[in-house]
Amino acid sequence: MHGGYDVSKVDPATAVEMEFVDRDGSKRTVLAPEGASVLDVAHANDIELEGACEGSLACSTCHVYVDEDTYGKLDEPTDDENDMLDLAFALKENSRLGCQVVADRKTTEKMEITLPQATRNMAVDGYVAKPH
Amino acid sequence: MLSRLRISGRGGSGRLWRAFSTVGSKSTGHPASVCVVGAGPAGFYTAESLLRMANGRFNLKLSIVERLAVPFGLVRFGVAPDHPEVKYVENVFQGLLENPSVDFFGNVAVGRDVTVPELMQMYDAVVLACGAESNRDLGLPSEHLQNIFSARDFVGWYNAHPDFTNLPVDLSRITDAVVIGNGNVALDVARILMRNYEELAKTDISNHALSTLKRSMIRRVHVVGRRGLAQAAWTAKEVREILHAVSSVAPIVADENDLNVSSVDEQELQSNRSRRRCVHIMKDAYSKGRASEELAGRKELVFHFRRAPVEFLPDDHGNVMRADFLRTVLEGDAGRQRVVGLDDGDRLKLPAQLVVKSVGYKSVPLDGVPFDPKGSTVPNDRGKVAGEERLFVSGWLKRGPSGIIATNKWDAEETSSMAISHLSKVRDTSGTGLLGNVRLSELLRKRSVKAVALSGWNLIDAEERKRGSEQDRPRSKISSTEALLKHAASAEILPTAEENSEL
Repeated sequence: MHGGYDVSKVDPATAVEMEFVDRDGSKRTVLAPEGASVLDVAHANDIELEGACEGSLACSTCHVYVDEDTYGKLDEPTDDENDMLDLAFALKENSRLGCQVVADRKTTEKMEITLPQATRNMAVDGYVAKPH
Repeated sequence: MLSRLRISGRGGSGRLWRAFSTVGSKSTGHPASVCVVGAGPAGFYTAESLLRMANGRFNLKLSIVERLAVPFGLVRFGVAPDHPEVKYVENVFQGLLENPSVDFFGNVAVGRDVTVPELMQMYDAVVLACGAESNRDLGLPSEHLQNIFSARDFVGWYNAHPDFTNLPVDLSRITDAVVIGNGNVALDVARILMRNYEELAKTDISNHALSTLKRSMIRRVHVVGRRGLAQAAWTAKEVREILHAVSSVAPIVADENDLNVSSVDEQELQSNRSRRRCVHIMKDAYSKGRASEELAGRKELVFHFRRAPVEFLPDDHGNVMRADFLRTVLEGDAGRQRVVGLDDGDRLKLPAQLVVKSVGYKSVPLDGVPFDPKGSTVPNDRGKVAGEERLFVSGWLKRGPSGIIATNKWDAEETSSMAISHLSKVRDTSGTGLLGNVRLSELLRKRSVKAVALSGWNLIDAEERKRGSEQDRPRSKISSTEALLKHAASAEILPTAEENSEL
């Protein structure tokens, strides 16, 4: 399995806290082992984040928003990540790919990760998707 | 308990496809059945969002009907063979095929084996996701000479699409090729024509293309666009790759003035991050210059901008030998610039013994379904087909042929929510008896259609991987429908009423 880990074996003493804000606004705090990517953490905790290319920087389906404080502490996205962010739906200033942001006690402690709207209710509220 | 055989010999992320293989499979809620026509990205993302939205409200049975014997559409037949990581999304789609709420019907052509009105009688809803099965033309009388191909056919040829296995491509006497178009498909074609044989031999490129490319004499590929650099539709990853990461390519811009964008272009670029970055990548590559010794001996990739094809000239045998282009200018305001051809005597005459036209795809109308030939789409309101109760559309047939694989996610989300709200409206009146999947199976048996079910596809998949591993390749694709059906034959199992009741 790609970068997966067992949630029951995460050591709380060394884990990094992350808060996920789901598409419906609901929040969930999870503990991530250092070195796990946001995509790994989402999958390990059954949070719906696709990651179709399995972290190989060939798609934009693990696109997330990172809280601004944390965003400033992270290394800049590489050219390869930016190439894929170009194609992400509803890109914002604080957009990142979940596969490239890694749990690290110095930078991502208590980071807040917001999943982009899946535009689930767009037929109801009349929103029409305009990809890139 | 499910009685069907499952083979799960796929690599990559097990977790992800397992997640998709159970989405929406709880057997609670009102029974309903939906047919998705087309097993490409649009069809699979529609299936995924339908199952997710139905969860708990409907006990949904989904049928995915595909004209070809194998699933995955343009992921298998469009994505370039040297981009294997883009194809990992097949693992996501395979997970959906393995979902007990989903039945795959490969080798079933809507229009030939079953009609859309028939499907509408059998299912509570039908979603057309069959893409764009034709291509746009240039509108030039000489564009049908020998050795001029549409990119759709050419890409199908190197990706082992059964329709294009016999495309008469001969590269053994060809030194100069022209690719018309400025999108990612044009770059894919140029790259495949120029890559070293040893690199191609490690991919899942079709066996016939691999042996043809082994004998290739190509020295130069021209990529020609009607518009300017600022309007090119390619994306950064592909531009960066062909400029910097293909060791057999020496990239050249025919006229370096074309690297300068106009003030109107600047305005357009301000609101388009992707194009802005592509222009930057191009300019950057040429401002630095490249040591000529580094590029010596490589094949030349020559970019031409603001050139419109006007005529192709044949040799004595009717093969194309030259492609002529006129200068164009862009006129109008930002975002609305139009291409105007100038017949000012400035004719670009490129030697070309092979021409690939990559100027866009086009959908074809389906019998009994409204069609707008101008936009090449089925007229719809957020995915609901105009004037039809239970007919929906998603993907290229809905929005026109553009966008990346993931674009279908958001598109499918919209169509699925329209379809689910339709199912909610009709839930008290819709079918209690046999579900659509069983009705379709019975009809196909009656008509002696050799449908390929999941188990048949899994046999094909295993065989292709086995052959591939013997040659150190991810897979060696089987390229004819006849051979594909032969490998699937021992596993033909279509759904029965008993199986539905086991869910």
